[in-house]
Amino acid sequence: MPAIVAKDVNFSYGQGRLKKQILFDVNLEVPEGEIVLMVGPSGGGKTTLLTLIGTLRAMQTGSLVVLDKELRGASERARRKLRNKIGFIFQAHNLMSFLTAEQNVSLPLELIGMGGRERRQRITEILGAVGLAQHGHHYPDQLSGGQRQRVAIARALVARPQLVLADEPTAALDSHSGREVVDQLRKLAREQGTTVLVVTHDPRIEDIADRIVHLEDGRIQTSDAVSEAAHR
Amino acid sequence: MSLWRRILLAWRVLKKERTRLLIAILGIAFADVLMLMQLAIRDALFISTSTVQEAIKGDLFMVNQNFETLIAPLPIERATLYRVLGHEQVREVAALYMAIIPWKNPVTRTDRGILVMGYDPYVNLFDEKIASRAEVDKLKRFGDVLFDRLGRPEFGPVPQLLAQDGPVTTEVNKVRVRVVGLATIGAGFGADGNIICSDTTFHRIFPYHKPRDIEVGVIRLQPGADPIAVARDLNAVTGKTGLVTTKAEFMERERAYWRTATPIGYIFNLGVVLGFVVGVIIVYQILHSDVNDHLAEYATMKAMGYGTATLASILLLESLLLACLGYLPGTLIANAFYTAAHEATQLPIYMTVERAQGVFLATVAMCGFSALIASRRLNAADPADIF
Repeated sequence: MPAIVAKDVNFSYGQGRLKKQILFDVNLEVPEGEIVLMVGPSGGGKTTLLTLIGTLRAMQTGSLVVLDKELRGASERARRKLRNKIGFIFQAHNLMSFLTAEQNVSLPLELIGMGGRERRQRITEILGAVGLAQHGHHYPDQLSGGQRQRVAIARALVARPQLVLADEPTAALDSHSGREVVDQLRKLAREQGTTVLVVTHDPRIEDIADRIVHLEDGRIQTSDAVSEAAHR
Repeated sequence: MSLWRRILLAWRVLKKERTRLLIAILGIAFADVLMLMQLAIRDALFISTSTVQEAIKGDLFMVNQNFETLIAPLPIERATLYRVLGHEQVREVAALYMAIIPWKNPVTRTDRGILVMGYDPYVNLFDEKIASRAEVDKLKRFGDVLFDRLGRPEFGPVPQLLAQDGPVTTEVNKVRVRVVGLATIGAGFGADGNIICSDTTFHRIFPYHKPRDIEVGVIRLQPGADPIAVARDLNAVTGKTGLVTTKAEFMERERAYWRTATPIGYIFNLGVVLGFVVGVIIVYQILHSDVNDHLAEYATMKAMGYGTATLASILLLESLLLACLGYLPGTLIANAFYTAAHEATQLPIYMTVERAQGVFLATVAMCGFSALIASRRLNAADPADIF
């Protein structure tokens, strides 16, 4: 069963004469465990598709099945429940400024009510995995841009979501930090068997993908599998 | 998300902005001090107005049917009081004369109005806590009076002078009197101080006050008599010339006068409401800017799967933490003000458990209400906007 199946998804903003269609008959399948990059020019509808898959916007027409759940007509409550199984990584790290790195990573675990000992162990583990074991007590404003984004990755993956959605995760970073961040994302996703969908403009990170999807003018142009050989 | 995790999160949000937290605590403390002071002064007023009545040992009281307050008493005829002796349940009666008159400070020689109460010192009229038997006995000497040690300091350091040099001589209504002892009554809103004397001394101070006119008639009943039933019997006879009330009614009448016939109660209640409103505005401002500043962060939490209700509950917990943090210094400051106000005014201003609890609940309500209004702003946190 694929993690994401989109069939004839259309989406418009506004109403009446101001109506502007963004997505046109989008069909897409993302198999479980794959890392998929969505590329294409700005304004092509990539982010809109991402927010639809992330259940942050209500569906209009077409069918979108995410983690076996049909989103069209799904209630806000059902969508919120599904969101517990999805990890988000944002262009700006979007960490809570009033929480330390540890406390930020702890948030998704608190949401599912995970108890103290197990939670602390998970946090220590994942902060270690992104190379921030020494920075758990620091607030976001005490960390560098790359470190913050790594905390954001730890936060997105700590609850072992089945799907991770990332929007331009390297846009705010220099090439070295960007490389580190996507490598860690890829490593953790592979370990956990998580499906990852990354929206990006950054050609430098295309090599982490199993598949690259081109979205332009609201339509899927191509969807190419990247051969295993390309990774090596 | 467990309650404990929510409380921790609420505390962390508050803790991050030290200055804002401090302002919030000070604001709430200020609102609490305002409410506590207004309530204390209002309560002191109502308590102080019936201190004297409470100390008179009597079962029933006879006053003019238009009587409102002891500060402006209306006369009744002494003969009317004596008529009630005809009722078999009445054991004895006593007359109390009252008037406010200028008292000359023995040191500064300035005049200030003081309440004078005269009665037959052979009758044990007042409770021992107001004036001991030994002190009252001194009143049998013509021209001697007892001075209220709890009166305002403007009347002069009479207790100290009395302790150092013995009896203090001064003038009341331009008549010489000698202070030979002390009474314990307390300043009220109506009278700044009191003196007690015998009925004969009273008539010497007030030569134009007709001895057959009295201000209050004190009635004592046989043991086991029902005061309400006897009052009803007596009113059937004397009601038009002298109204008979129970002690509770007598005290309540006085308080009702200050509550309703004067704007004092209303003004203090307004002050309490004002304190509450100030608190709501301060806490709302703090919480609203908290939500506004962290809108993207709250939206991110929504993207993670946190519901608006959970976020609102965290906001509510923030407000409750603020309530507790502001209430503590607020009560401590108010308590210090109580002591200072009591020393300055001699009014019975002190903290009561009921008031402390009431204001705590008001603080919680104030903060909770602000959190509810501020939480509407959470709807503006749309996770779709942060991409």
